[in-house]
Amino acid sequence: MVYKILLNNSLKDFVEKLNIDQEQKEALVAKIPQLDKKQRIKLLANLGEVYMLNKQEEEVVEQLKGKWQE
Amino acid sequence: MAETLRPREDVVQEHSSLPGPGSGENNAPKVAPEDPAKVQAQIKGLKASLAEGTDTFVTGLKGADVGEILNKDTIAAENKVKAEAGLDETVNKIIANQEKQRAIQESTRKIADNIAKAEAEKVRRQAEAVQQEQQRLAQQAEADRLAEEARAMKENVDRAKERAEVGKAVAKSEAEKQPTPVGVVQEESDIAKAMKEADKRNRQTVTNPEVAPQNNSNPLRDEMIRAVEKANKPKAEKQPVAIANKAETPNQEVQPDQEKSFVRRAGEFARPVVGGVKSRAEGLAEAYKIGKGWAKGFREWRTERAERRAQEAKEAEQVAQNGAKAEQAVVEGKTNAAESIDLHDIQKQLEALRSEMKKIIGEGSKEDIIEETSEANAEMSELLEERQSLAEKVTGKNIAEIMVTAEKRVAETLGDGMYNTREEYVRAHLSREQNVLTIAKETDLLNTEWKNLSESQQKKYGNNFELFRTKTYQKAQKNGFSEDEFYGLMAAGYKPQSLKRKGFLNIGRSISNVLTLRLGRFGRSERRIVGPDGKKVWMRTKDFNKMAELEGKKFKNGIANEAQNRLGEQWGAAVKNETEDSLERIANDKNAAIERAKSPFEQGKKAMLVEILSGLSEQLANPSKLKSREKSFGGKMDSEINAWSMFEGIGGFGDLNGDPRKNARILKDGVSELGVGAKDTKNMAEKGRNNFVSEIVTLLLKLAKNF
Repeated sequence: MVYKILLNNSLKDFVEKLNIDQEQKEALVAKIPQLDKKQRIKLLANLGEVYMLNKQEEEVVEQLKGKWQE
Repeated sequence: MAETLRPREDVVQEHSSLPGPGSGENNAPKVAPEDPAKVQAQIKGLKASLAEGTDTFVTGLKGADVGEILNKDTIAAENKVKAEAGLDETVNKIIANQEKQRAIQESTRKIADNIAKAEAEKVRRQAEAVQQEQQRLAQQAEADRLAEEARAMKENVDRAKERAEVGKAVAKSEAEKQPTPVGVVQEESDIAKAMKEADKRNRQTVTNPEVAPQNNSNPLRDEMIRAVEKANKPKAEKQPVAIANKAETPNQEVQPDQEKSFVRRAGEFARPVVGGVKSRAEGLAEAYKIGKGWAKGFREWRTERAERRAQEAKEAEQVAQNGAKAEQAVVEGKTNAAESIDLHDIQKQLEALRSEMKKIIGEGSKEDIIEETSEANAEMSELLEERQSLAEKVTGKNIAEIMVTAEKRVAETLGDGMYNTREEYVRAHLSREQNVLTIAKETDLLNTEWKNLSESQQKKYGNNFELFRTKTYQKAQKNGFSEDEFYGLMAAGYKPQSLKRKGFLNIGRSISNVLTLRLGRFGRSERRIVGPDGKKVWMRTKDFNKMAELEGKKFKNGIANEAQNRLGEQWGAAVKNETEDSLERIANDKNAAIERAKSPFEQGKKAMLVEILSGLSEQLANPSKLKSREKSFGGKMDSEINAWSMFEGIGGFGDLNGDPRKNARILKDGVSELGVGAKDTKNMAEKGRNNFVSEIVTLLLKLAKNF
């Protein structure tokens, strides 16, 4: 069975869109083809955590700007 | 008897000397009776003596026939003597005869006196007539000259009117184009050249000692001039220059020395005529000779003058004709358009020269600086706007509020807390700024001229520029220029050429050429000026005065405007800087806060990624399995069903292209592949993005653990 969200390109795309250093991105992308399904699901979970941190960071900045304008 | 009766020669001799009534001759001794023949001889001798004497002193005179008069009486006496001679009468008779003879002598003397007086009167009248003729000729000459000048004046007025019309047209044309001095420059016309030549000729004539008399003090001439001026008073008011010239120019037509000398000599010969026969005769002869010689000289001089005048008139007429033709050509000028084009070209050349001159004297570089400054200001404004825009985005503050705050701060710093607005600041400092600018500009203008002076000329000022400045301005004041007019004309390009003229340093002299303006003598209606293009043109005094006034106002107003602008710019620049600083401070503060807020997240992500990578490194794939993994996960990614869209599109089902159904399908397909039930995802979606993502992550980790 093909897991579309676990495809190489899907994971690479996810990595590229995260707000992390380019060096880190390249290191992650380089690993993706070697990963099996279990590793991919774990990577996806970890990327999800990074994604969540990004979103939290954005929310904090927005809150700061909002406070600054008051 | 012989001793008392003097010989006839003695008597004649005595009579020939024409003794006066009180002389010793009246006391002649009584004569004793003599022989009639002797008496007769005496009478003959007397007659001859009288004839000879009178003939002597009337030599050269015309009119009275002395011999005839003498004969009339002497013949009668002779006849009487003859009648008595034959009688051989007594001595008493002889004595009586002698007394009669004496009476005859007396009568003859009186006659001679009368004749002499008549002749003297005649000569006097002749002298008077000559004098009157001389005066009449002088008056005629003066009248001719005045009439000639009047004609010249009228021609000048006509030409000036024509030039004024042309000047007005030019001024109007130029005024519509740009604010340049009215009628500043025109080509020097043939008429102007003719006037210049005439002026030069006149000067040469005046300064030529052979032509002009040294002494121009002539009451008669002055009286005539006054009379003419009085008669032509309206014209004189219109043409003060010409009248002034007449008054100042020595009269070349009248020969006052000759006239004076003639009168004096005429008086000299008239006086001795009354005194004695000899001196009177000589005096008369001399006077006649002098008068005749003078008359000849006068006629020659008059002829020469007439020829000279005729020649000058001919030349003037020729010049006038040429001038008239030239003027006519200009007036007709193949329509006004052609004329406008020519003048416009001249104006363009002028502008080019001015521009070049400004570059030479440094104004061009200032303009460049100003231009560069303007460009820099524009760039700064652009940059400031960008920053303001950015700052507004960042801070959300109204930029106008920031600027108000900035202006308050400027009022505290630049305005020393005394001036709250730009207007107040400008108004308070305008006078000071104007003075600063005025001194700077005037110094620049004069400094240019100072540099143009030769070393020797600078040395005359002790190599002291300030002395040069002071004396130059004093000259301008003497010539009636105000400070603004003087520097205004210089700023417009009328350079003080005359600073190079000899005698400029002599304060006591009237320096009429401080600028390149040949101001001419006082009262002239026209003056020659040298324009910025170096061309010399004639300009009416009132036009020149208007131009000077205009340039003065332009100079003054220009400085006032510049001072106002500079002060305004100072205030504006301060406010701009303050605003920019405020914005920068605000932005910096906020950026710093944001960076501080982001810092823990960045660190957390970094730690997490390090952990991920280290975990992946420990689980390197077997190369033999890479091929199968490539086969399993190397397929083409679905643009809609991928890992990113799974997380990004979950929040409320509205973030992915705004289509809830589509989002739901993506989510279901993606998550269901991983064994997450659709029912659960629907419930989780209602919990919010972070919570949902968190739960997905938990599920994924759990899922991975189960493998």
